[in-house]
Order: sequence, then C-alpha cells, then structure tokens
Amino acid sequence: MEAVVRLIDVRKYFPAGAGILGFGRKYARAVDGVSLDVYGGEVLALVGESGSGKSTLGKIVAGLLEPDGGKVLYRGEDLFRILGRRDVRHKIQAVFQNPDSSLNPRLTVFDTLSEAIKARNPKLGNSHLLEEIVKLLKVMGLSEDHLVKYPGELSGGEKQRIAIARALAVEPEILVADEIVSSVDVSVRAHILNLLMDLKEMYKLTMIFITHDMGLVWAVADRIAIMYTGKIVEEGPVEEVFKDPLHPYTKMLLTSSPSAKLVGAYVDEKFKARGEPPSPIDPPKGCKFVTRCPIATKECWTQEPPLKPVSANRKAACLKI
Amino acid sequence: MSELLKVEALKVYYRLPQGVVRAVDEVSFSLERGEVLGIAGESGSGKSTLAMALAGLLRPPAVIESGRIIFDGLDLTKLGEGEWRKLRGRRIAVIFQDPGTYLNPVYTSGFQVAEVYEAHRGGRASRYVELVKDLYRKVKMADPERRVHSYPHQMSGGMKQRVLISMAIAEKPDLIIADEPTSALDVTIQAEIVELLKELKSETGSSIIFITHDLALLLEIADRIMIMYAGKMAELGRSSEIRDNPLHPYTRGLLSVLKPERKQKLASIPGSIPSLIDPPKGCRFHPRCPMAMPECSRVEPRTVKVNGRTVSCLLYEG
Repeated sequence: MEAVVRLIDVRKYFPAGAGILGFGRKYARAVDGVSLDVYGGEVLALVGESGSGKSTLGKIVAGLLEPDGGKVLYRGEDLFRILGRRDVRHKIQAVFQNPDSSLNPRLTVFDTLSEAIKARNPKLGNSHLLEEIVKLLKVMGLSEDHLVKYPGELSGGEKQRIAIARALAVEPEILVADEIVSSVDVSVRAHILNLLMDLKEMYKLTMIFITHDMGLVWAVADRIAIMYTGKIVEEGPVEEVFKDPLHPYTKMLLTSSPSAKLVGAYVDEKFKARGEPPSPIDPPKGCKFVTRCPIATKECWTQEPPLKPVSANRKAACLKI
Repeated sequence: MSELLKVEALKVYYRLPQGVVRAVDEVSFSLERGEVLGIAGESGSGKSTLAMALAGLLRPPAVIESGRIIFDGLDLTKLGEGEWRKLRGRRIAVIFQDPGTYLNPVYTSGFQVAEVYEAHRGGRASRYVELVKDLYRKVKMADPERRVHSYPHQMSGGMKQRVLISMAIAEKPDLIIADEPTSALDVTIQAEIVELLKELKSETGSSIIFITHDLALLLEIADRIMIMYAGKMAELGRSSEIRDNPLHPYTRGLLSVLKPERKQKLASIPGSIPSLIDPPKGCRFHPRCPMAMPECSRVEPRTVKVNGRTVSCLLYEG
C-alpha cells in the first residue's frame, strides 16, 4: 500500500510561561517527534488521553497548523509548500468535536454548503448548485427542509452532519475527524458513524479518526496509533492491538476502558491504571510512561525507547519488547 | 440487606412559560444498604433532575409534583431547607461531574474539606487538618501532606475529584449520589476513581447511586442498573441481566451501539430524543422503536415485573 500522507519526525512545541527576556522560556511538547504513514483508503485511529497531542497532530495533518520541526509529505511533496495550490487545498478536510464552534451561526444550511461547493466549483450555476446541495443533504440523511435553517435550529446530531457535509462538499481525499461523535448522544452516534463509513466507501476517503473511545476504534478503524505525551507508543492493525497489545500503556488503556472490555479486548489486572500523565513541559528523561509503568526498570528512566518495528505491520516504543 | 431508600411514583416537573417539562415522570425504585445502583440515560432523560431531587437541590422552576422519597423512614419531599442542611453532607452526600466548579479557587483544598467537619461538628476548620489528611490518604491522593495546602488550580482534574470524594465521605454518609463523577476525566483516571469508589463503599457500607450516560461504565460498577428514557424508567435489573439479556428495545439499542461488531454497520436507533414538553403519546419511545406495535402510540406502558426485573414496555404486558 502507498502512503498518502507521510509524517517524518514531526514536532510542535507551544510556549508555556514567558521566562525572562526570552531566556529560560519553557515549551510544552505537544507533538514530539512523530513519524507515521497514512495509507490510501484506510481508517487510521489516533488514540490518546487529553494532553497526548492527538488533536495537535490532527491539525498538522489537516494543514491547519505548521509543525516546528520535521516534515509532512502529501504524495511525496511537502504539504506546507503546496498547500496554496488550488488542486491541493481541498484534498484534506477536517471535522471537529463541537459543530457549534465550527459552523457560522448566521449562515443557513444552504449558505454554508453553497460556500463550500463554490470554493471547489466557482463557475457552478445556481440551479446546479441547488441540485448539488440537495444531493449532499440526501446523502447525509437530511431533507430539503433543512436548507433554510440556521445552526441554532438544528439538533446536535444534525449540526454535526452539516459540518461533515461541508467538509465533503469540496470532495476531499483525506478527512481528519477529531472526536466528531463525542458530544453526540449514544443513540444518535451510531447513525453518524454509519453515515461516515458509507461516505468513506462512496468517496474513497482516507480517514484519520481521532478519539479517546476504544469502542469506536473497534467499530470503525483499520489501524490504530496510540499517543502518549506527544509520542506514538504503539501502532498496528486494530484486531491485533486489541487482542495482543505490546506497549504497557496500551495495556493500561485497554484494561481501563469499559467500552474496550465490552468488545472483548485484552484485560490484565497487572496493568490496572495508576498515576497521572507527566507534564508535557517537564516530562521524564527516558520513557515518558516510566512514572506509571508497572514493568519499568532502571534503564527506562534514562533511555528513551524509539518506535521500532516488532513485526511486519506493528511497531512499539518500549525497551521491554 | 435492608432498604435504605424508596422512591415512589416521583414526578418532577419544570414549569416554564413554554409549557410543563415532565423531566421525571412517575419513577419508582428502591435501594438497599451497601448497594450501587446505576442510573443510565442520555441527555434529556431526566437522570440529573432525579439526582437533584434525591439530594434536595431542586430549585424553581423545578418542583416535585407528586410522589415520595422515603430515606430511612423519612419522607425527603417534605423536608425544609433547615432539615436538609443537617442531612446533606452528613447522611446524604453528592459528587458532581466537574469538580473544578464546586471548589472555591481562593481557599486551599484542605480547608474546604475541613469546612464539612466545621459545618457538622462545629469549631474552626483548622482543627480538622489531621482528619483531612487521613481522608486524603483514604482517597489515595498523591502526597496528602502537601495537597491539603494546595489550591484547586494547582491540582489535576483527577485530584480535584478526589477532593470532592473526600468531602462526600467525610461524615460516612449512608448514601452517596454521584452524578457523572468521572465523565470529565480520562479513561485511566476514571478507572482509578471507580476503583476507589468501590473500595470506599465496601469499607464504609455506604450505598451509591451512580448516574451517567456511560452504560459501559455502569456495567462494571453497578449492582443494578436503571435505564431512563425521556423522564421514564425503561428498565431496571441486575447489571449482568441488563448486559446479557436486555428486555426493553431501547436498552437493546444502546447495547448494540456499545458492543459493535468489527467493521459492520452499527445498529442505530433512528430519530432523536423527544421534547419533554410535548412527549410522544403512549410509550415515549415508540416513534424510534423497531418493535413498535399500533397500540404503542396510544397506550402508555405500565411497569411490570418479568423474572424479578422491572420493565415498561407493552411487549411484556399480559
């Protein structure tokens, strides 16, 4: 398989605290040397807890945030160099958790979607435009009645569907979906996820699915990459990682997660949750997980484990493997 | 086991200019001493209103329309604020979702926990520092000696929730009402807090009512689970029964979302949660129910017992 997006040693540091005259300024290492391939047509789940850097990484892949170091390649070219090109700009789209903050409250559904379609097809005539929009609404399971509505008149699930429709209106190749069903009730969630999977087939989308919910990963993803304090600690096919995790953090995450348990994932009481993640400003020197790891030894405090291949399609970053 | 709490046909309504919101509509259940009862529901199911009613924290426009809440022989719906003040924090304690908003940013966490003792035992809060340290040890706070002097902003979300739990267990209450206590926390921190609540429960013998939208979590912690939908009880049964053999079509729908088949279509519940001002006639779930029969839109289901479980659905009536 070919990598559509390739991340090479990507870093993003955010300044934290001013220091004195710029001296001694500290940085939160949100993304700290991530290398990752995203293959065409796959759903890659990016999983981690708050502060793991998964959303920052998602924004970088979506071209919304320029990294401080490393490279993001889109089909072999530097994404941030070619982002201005009309044929590239629309290829990668993002949808976020809260549709209230991403939809303009003063635009009707029609306006929101026509803006997006026109961005792709500026010369489209009015009758074709309406046709396209109605088609898009149908795909999303919404009706023409929604055309004249404002976001304030829609339910949470409907708003999220409009946000997805807007992202798809420009016919992207890659969709970054960041916690898109986290604020939606369970009974509505299934509907949106089914829709997303249909759309994936229909539009041949590649998806980066960012979530903290292991149950969702099981339902929709092909591969999973697990992040901890800015680094990827494990990567592999979902079934294999769920049944036979390699990294102690993955083991802890699966053991802690009620929704993973319901789908029969790995559980080991030895890896019961303990402690809290370190501060991204001042993380431990060696392995970032060392403060919570039940199998850590002396060298884990000093040596930082690289993410390295364990088998043909799996990687992990742990000295104990 | 003996019964600690009995809720009988409780109705809590919000009287708004737009109409009457029937947030909790004829809900009945009981709770044994030492039991963990989970209450699961989506937004608008009435679960948080129910929590507020049980803790005596309802304020207008919410009113208890009818029904009784019998706590250890005492009808809580009849209590005045003065009596509530003696009860709340001592015999009934509450833990809410977002611990940050319940802590005062200008006092140390330890002082705020000590205030619970001050309120019920008198004297100055500073007298109780050692007791607070003991509590912090009990809730497994890292570095309790130092943390009693920490301000809320110096603590993580998990630590703040431990502070709230310290307050809740300070007077060894008979009943702890926990409303989404772990929903703002990461899953590994949640697992620790849940573990802690279980331990504290077996140590103090307190009963816990654990309210959350996260049914998967309840299946792990609760002895019995009540599923609420649009202000009504849909089903009540032992956790293992709810997990393995759900009766109500709504519970079945929720579980199929929670137990997805790998890369298969998820079983979805069509439509969305109804308005409680003008809920559907008959069974409130019927417009979304895959098993609805013609009479479901006319006849409101009674709660019936099926093999020791309680369910409100016409499928199980006569």
